[in-house]
Amino acid sequence: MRDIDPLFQAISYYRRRKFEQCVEVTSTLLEKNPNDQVAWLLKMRALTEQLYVDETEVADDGLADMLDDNAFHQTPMPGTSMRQPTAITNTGMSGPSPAMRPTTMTGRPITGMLRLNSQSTQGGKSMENALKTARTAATARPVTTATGRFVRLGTASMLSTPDGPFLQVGRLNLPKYAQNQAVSRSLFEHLFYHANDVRAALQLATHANEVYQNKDWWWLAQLGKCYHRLDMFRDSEKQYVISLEIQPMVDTYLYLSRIYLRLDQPLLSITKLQEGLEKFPFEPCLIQAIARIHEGLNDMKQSIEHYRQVLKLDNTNIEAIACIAANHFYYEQPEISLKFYRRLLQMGVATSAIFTNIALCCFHAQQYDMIVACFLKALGCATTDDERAEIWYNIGEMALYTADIHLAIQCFRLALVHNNDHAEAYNNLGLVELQRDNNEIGQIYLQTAQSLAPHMFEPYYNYGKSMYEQGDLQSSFRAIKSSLDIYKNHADSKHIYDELRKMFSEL
Amino acid sequence: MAMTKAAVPPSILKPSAGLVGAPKWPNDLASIDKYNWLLHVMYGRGEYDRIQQFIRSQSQKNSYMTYIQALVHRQEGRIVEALDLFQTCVIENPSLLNIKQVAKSLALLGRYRAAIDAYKEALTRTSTEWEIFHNLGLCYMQLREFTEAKQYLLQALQISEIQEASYLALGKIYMLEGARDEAEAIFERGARRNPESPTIFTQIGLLAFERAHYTKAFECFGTALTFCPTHTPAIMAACQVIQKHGDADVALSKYRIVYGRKPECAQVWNNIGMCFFSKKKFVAAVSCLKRANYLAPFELYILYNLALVHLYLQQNASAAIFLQSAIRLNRKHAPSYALLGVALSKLNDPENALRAYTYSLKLNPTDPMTLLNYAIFQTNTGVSKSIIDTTLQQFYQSYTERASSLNQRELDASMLEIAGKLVAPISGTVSQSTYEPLPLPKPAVPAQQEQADVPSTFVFSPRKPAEVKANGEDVVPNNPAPEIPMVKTKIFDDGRHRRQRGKALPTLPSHPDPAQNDGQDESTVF
Repeated sequence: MRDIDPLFQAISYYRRRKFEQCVEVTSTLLEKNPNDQVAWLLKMRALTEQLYVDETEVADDGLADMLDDNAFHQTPMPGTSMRQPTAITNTGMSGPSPAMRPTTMTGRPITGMLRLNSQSTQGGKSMENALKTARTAATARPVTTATGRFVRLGTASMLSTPDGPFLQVGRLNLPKYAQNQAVSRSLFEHLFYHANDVRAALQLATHANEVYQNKDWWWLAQLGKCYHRLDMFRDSEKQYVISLEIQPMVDTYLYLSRIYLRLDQPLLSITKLQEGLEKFPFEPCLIQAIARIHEGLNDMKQSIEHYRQVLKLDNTNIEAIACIAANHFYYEQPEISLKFYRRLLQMGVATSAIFTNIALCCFHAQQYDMIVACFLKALGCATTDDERAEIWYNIGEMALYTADIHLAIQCFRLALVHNNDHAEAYNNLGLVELQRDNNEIGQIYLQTAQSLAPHMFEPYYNYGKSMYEQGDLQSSFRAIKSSLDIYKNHADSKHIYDELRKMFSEL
Repeated sequence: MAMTKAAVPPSILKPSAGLVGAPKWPNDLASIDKYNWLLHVMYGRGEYDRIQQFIRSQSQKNSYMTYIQALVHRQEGRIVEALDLFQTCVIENPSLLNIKQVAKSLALLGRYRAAIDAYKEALTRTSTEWEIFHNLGLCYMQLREFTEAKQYLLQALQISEIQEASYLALGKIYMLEGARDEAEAIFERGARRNPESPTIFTQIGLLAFERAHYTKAFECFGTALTFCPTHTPAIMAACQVIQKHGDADVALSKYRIVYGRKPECAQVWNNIGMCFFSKKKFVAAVSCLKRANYLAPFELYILYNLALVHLYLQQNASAAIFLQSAIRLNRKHAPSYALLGVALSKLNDPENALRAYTYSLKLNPTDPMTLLNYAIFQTNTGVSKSIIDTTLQQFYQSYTERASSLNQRELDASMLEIAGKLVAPISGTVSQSTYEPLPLPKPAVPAQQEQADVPSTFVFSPRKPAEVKANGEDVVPNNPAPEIPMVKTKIFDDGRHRRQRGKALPTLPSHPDPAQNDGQDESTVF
């Protein structure tokens, strides 16, 4: 039987997204005839596809970004900046209070879904704070800069072609390729994603823009992307805006909103996205982006509203369902939350987190028969130790609410076995020990929790309170002060603080 | 700050700007004590950083500087440093003031024995200062040696009669000892000397409230609130009275004030929940109570109230579980057992219901509510007439006792009606008569809650699950790993619980179960 034409086979592989085989076939083709442009192009695209990332989702803010001064205002008005997440939380009216809804390491209410940036949203409070935040297993902020991720991608590309890089980037005649319509775009993507040589990509894009006299939206957007990657936000913004004038595109709007977020202007970002929505009224991505920004601003009501709109357009959007469910859960409506989580389960998202959440909802909705089964299932699905720790922690929490102290202690210990950095478990263990009048052990647990999670006010408050009751007012005062630093409207902390101040100032 | 800078010329703060002029006599009293006024002013303004800076810049320290520095340290919460400095003060100049400060620092550090010694040292120098006696009393109180504490506090009151703090401390000791009459007398005395103290009036009101003197209690809370309209304990207590009168709407509007000031106070949520319950808004009631339970998982009354509401909503299994939690917290809480009896009898488990009732009656044999429910239960399980009659007799007896000792409003008259129905039909058709509407639980017996100055006494419960992690992109291929999770349901470990939950007997009464008459539920004040 005759073989298929190798070129056809390569194209077929490419179509079926079997990029490795495609690269193999095209490599043999290129060995036979190094000037085979079709094979060359195909190989290039296959290599690119292997490492393609959705640029609209990528945003790793590194620790070094703390130093940047791109933020428009250094001391922004509350509610207009991501840098002041606490401004709204603490009024307790619009945002959920930290006592009712746990916060992430950077002081934001926890979201319904773990995604890039939901752990470390733009710009924590200050450099000092970011450095202080404990870097535990689930670190608050990657230490490397934004380029860290891309350097890794770059080395990955070396791996995929063991006999040296596919293209000698330095030897490419970029102006010549820029002329060639058929090749230039693929080459750009290759340079940008695979070779991770943003400078070369930028050169190519500039040449191409000269060729097209700045009339081609795609090249303009790519130019913007290059500038974005190089952290030249204002230049990038300019390119995106021109590109949008020529041809409105959803992606470009998303890129532009990202730029404004980096410049710490969330409200402008929302406006741009809404402009985009006028052009593309049925685009869930845009609405989802708006919802995320509102979430970052602690405006849960708006955020949920937008997530609901997303669901109307795309009723299988996992993120929207999860966020709405989480919100209902924290607003004491576990029954509704349960429905949403069940929907997720029906869609086939069967992770341990979902099962845990369902179990918790069942518990709070008093459907006691399902709880154990769900937790068992969750433990079965759990793949990492972190997940197991969370599950055991939640079981312990449940035991706590049924006042079964011994079971609670066992569960929290198990959580700590799986994840030794679980600050919440330490805190609860400390509380339980205090409840049993083992003051010293309890205080040690609380201190451990403090050192592990400087973003939680609970261990500080608990420690301060127990010290206050014991009469060690100095330690109490310090702990209460830290508690108030984290959550400045906590009524009970304030009460103790005032009492202590009164005692100290009396002669 | 700008103003203060203008007030204090910066040249003064420069190192030895003023002292350069007097190098001849470095120990000259005038030059050393020259800036004491400045320190005093700065301390009064609370400019602690500048004080530190100033003292650092001086070439030598006088004792006043040390003293002020110690005070600053104490203000900033560094008591150990403050104690060191005060001790150096005492070494330099063993005056009464310095000794008192050392004693106070020791007391703040929780070293009460040492503090007592220091205060006694101070007493050798003077015996006309009430503060020393008062503080001695407080130290003894912390050491739980109440006789000495009372003695010293009384001495303090002999010297000076004005200070509110001594009255409060003394009253608190009496309360801790359970001597309510003395406590009330002391508070009354205090109120005469301090007619504008909201705290004392709140205390008097609470005592009156406990004895069911509602008008007097309400007056006292009113007085407290006129002098301090935002005194949270007084508002809470006043709300209790209002709630007691069945005026849930007014109480709710008051709770809104408290909520604004203390949004995470479990007691407030509990009381709000009970307000909604008396307005028959059950969903709201349940969710408020749930929130209260979330904020304070170890509060007995919240669990009890939750059980009550669920029982009323016919969710008997949930009620039973909440009651179990309540019992786990306090194994001697008779009302919980009684309610558990009701829940279990509704769950068709008469055997364990009987046990719950008997245990509850063992703990508190004179509770009319329990007796009545027990009688209803006996009627429904077809116990012989004579036994029911004895139960009912006990009920009438304890009811009349209660009625004579308490205010009439405290007891629910409808209980008598129900009891009458139980007695009346000697022939047949007994059980039909027993389901009467649940009398609305009247909110809030404040139940000897400590009204201490300790802030609302629950250790803050931790956060809710940090659970929410739906990892959108990487859906884990769910491999059904054969795990062996050892979920130990310790619920059944305990003998008593097993007894209560036991096997449900499939037999017995097909006729409607009794309703019960749980006219009380506590909501806690502070």
